[in-house]
Amino acid sequence: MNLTEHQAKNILRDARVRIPRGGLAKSVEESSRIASDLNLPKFVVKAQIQAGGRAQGYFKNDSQSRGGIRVVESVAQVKACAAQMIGNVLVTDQTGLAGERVNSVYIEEFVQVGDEKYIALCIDSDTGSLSFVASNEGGVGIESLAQQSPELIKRFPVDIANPQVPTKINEFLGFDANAAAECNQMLDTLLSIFIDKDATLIELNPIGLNEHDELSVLDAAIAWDDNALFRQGHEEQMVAYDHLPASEFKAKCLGLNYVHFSGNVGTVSAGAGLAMAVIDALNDAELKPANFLDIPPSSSVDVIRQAIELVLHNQSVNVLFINIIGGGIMRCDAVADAILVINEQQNIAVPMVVRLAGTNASLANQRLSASLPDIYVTSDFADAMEAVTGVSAALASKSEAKPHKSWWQRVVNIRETSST
Amino acid sequence: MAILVDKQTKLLCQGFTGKQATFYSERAIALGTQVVGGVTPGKGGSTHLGLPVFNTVTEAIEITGANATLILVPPTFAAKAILEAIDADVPLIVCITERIPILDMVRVRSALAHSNSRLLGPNCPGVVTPEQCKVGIMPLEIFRPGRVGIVSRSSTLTYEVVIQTSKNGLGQSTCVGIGADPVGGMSFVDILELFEHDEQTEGIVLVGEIGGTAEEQVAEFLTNNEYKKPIVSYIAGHSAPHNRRMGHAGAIHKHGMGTASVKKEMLESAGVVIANSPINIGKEVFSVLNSHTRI
Repeated sequence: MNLTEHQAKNILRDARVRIPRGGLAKSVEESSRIASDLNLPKFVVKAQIQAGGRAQGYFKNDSQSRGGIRVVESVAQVKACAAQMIGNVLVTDQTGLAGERVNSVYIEEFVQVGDEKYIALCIDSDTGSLSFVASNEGGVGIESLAQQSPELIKRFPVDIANPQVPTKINEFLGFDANAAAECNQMLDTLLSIFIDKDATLIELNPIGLNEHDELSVLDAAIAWDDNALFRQGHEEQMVAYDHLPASEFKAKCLGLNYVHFSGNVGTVSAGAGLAMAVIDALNDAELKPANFLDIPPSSSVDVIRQAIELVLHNQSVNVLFINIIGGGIMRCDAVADAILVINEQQNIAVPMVVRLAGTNASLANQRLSASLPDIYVTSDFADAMEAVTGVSAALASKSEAKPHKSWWQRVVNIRETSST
Repeated sequence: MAILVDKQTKLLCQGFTGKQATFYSERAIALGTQVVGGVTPGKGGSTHLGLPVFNTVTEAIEITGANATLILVPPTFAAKAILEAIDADVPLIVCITERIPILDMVRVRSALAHSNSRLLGPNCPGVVTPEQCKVGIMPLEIFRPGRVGIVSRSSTLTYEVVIQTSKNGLGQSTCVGIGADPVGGMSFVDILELFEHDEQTEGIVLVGEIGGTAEEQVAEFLTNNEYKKPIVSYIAGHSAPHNRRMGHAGAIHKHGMGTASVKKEMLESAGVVIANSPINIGKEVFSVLNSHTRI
């Protein structure tokens, strides 16, 4: 779970890490009140989303392509920024082209630091260890620095059996005695937060010395481990998924891994690997997936039913491709039963290609073929792709977007005749 | 011959009396795997499926002589179960459990480094040597004994490759799921080294996916070593949209690695045959194996 900057800074403030003064505004009125209360000559207005790269990002529908972090010099300008940002979609290197809707802005005291440094604590998956990462050339250019001069970024592994701040990191950062002591204490705090709260990332960038030679954190990112929620119960959990589109939010509630795309072929799969392979195969065949959907193998017939309904609910879907290999506790007959339940409740108006293999596949295929002869049922991925390609081509050449079953029946018949 | 598990494997199951463990143990026993007992703390001394139940792994090993353990324990206790198996010096530990907190796995990795145990997983389907031994949750009806070794991060894609290589008659020597978590036990390279020395394995299918650097490590290994057997690889997710991500740490750490195209390029220049489509993996390995035998 990725926290917004505001949530991350609250955690740092509570742990007595120094951050600039500021407040969160969810409306233009609030932004003006916060700015007036702060009463400063210079403010920073920062769009709150769960991804980085905001300063160099741009808002959709903003002709001036202004970024998500702006320095302004009056309460009126704060208000104007808030009005432009709140409710609009910010696109950055890390959000993907869909961007992320800005629901609030963080208004903060403008602080300048001397040398901008980068400090992070994360899990190094190459070695499977907890590790500090630091650079003396932090700031917005840190990723290009990593590409061009990786030697300027250093890793400092932490022994998980005896977690201590590595002494070398302070030498590397090169602060003078006072700041070094403060920094060491802060790193120790970060280490405690990371381990006690099950983080997967704590990143401070930039961090440096302010005009009073005190350590100040200008931007921060924190991510919690979703798998550890059972022992953490982070309050942020409730709001972390606020920004998701309705269909993705519903999927999260059902425990499904669902991503919405703009195409017309609805996909249902179990296991992230096969679900990704389905998207790959559709793209290879120049077809457009409407979604990625990975149903966890432990799902009940009812959850599988709701998952399929979620895909059918998407108005752009005019072909449904279900590709599931039963394994683990996922049984193909459960998938067949889910399809049959849906069919009893509503007339499934889109052509369906169902590929089932693995545990109880032949039972499932028999059940489906017996009850729903107009569904294309197969046990082979390549065969299923041919059917999906065939029906998509036929749909594209038809004027109406949604064919009737009887029409689909004819397609199936034609296929069968041509293959015999 | 095969790798990791065969007819001699004596299997223990941790979390033995649970619903899932019961289901998989019954199936494994029915198809010839030597399950010798299980561990459920507090239920020691009883029997389950006609087999002895123990309180601790150490006790179970002493009495049954088990040399492998299957962990089917909820994520809250799974890391503890792995650590117990490491302490008891079990040679092969297979952990199916998904959603284990990553810091727990960092602790497990640290313990593994000073041990004699091998770990597969977590978040993996286990390992199967067809008609000899199954440790895990793979659907056995799709397997055929044969010539191809399979190693994969994804459970469902393992099954896909098994189906395709059964259908075209090649069959499998051993199929290994190493798991999809960022921090786990044995790596692709560890498994490739075992396959290289296995007589039954004539070629290998390696199924990777976007994210992480596991496939890049394979490319590096193959470039620096003379690997004797042909490898076919499919990398899932080449058409995945630009992923959302958080912070810079991942990108900084990986120097632009992790995308399907980088992985494919690196593997290809290290001599791996790339299957571009998930529906052609079986075909690719068939033609590679047959041309390889001719030479």
